[in-house]
Amino acid sequence: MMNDPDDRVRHLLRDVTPDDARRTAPPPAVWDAIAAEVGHDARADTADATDETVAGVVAPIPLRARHRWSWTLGAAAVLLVAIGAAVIIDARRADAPDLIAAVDVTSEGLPDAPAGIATRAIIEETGGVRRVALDVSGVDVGADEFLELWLINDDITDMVSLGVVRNGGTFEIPAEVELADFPIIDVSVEPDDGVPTHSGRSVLRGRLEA
Amino acid sequence: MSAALLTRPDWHNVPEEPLRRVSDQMTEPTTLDDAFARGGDSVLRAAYDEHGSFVYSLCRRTVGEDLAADITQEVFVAAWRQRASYDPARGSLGAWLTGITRHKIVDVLRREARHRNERLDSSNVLLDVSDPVEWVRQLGDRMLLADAMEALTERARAVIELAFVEDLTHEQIAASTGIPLGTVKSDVRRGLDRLRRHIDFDPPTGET
Repeated sequence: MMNDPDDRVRHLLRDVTPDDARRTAPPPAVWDAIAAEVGHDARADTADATDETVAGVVAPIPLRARHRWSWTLGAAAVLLVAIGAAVIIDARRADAPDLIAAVDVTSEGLPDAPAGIATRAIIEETGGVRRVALDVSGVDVGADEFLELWLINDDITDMVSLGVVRNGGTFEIPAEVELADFPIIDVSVEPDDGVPTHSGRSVLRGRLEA
Repeated sequence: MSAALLTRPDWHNVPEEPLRRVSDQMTEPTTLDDAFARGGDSVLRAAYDEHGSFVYSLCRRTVGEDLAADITQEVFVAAWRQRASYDPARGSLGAWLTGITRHKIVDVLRREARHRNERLDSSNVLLDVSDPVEWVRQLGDRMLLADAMEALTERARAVIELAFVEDLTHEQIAASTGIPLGTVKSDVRRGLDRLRRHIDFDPPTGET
């Protein structure tokens, strides 16, 4: 059965559970027993292990952080939103967009922003899908940084990322998001550090009026 | 507000180059894989540090905690003695070790089945599965894939999931994620190459 390796990968991927990513380290006695059984070579290894030169002979093997991947949970939810939206987009492509709002977003009053930047975010709805269109080509970022578009609540306690902004583009607002609950449109400078939360360095901000 | 919405859509933000170098270790034989095949000081310990938890965890889930330590020991001793038969070009060291582990586990299950006068291929009380041999194989491969998926870039992982789990076409993935079609295709192809290296590895001979 499933002799084609690609088919096997496909079938197995569907069945992977979070348990399959969980690991338990063996008790220390296991290595001692291995070293005792294979004799000379491994005893030399054990000595190496104590002064941290184990990886010195072999090139260092970076042990992957045991932050186990969670696509079966969180990422899948994000992706399913995208899939659902794509289906809607396909079905309603011919629809003309309805303008929901045009919001001025500026650097005014933001301590981390260069002064005098102003642009406008356009929010439109097409076939039930809302999108924000934005041009940020006036904002400079460093080589290890990028801009990210957010919707934020009035308390600045909760936010939704709409994605990375390069020069400009159109960003879908997830169907679950009530714009009245997240009226602030925010563009932040994010370091390229893999940390998914807002950096706190906003460079553009505007508020959708009710 | 679901927690998922508070994180970035992950395919947007992955710096392609630095991460690709990390995951290339999954396609091309790593230094450890090569060194293990040649043998030499320190490699058994390095292999144990990298794969010991995997082997032990697979044993725990199949034969239980009491036997897991013994089998883990047997696996690494057997692997060391047979290291000349490991060919890094054919698959990852992890996949090869999993093959050895699987055979050790099946041996244990067979012994236990004999004690209970049951056939292993009939319904097994311990495991409560109809085909324990295939069950162990699939469990090992799923654990290998879990590791291999983790080593992919977030974007490649998302694309692979959409292609293989959600069964979207490349065009649908490009349309729904905004990733260029050519990138989707190369992510799928390269991702599949990497994942395949972690399964479908013929077990070493003489281990059954």
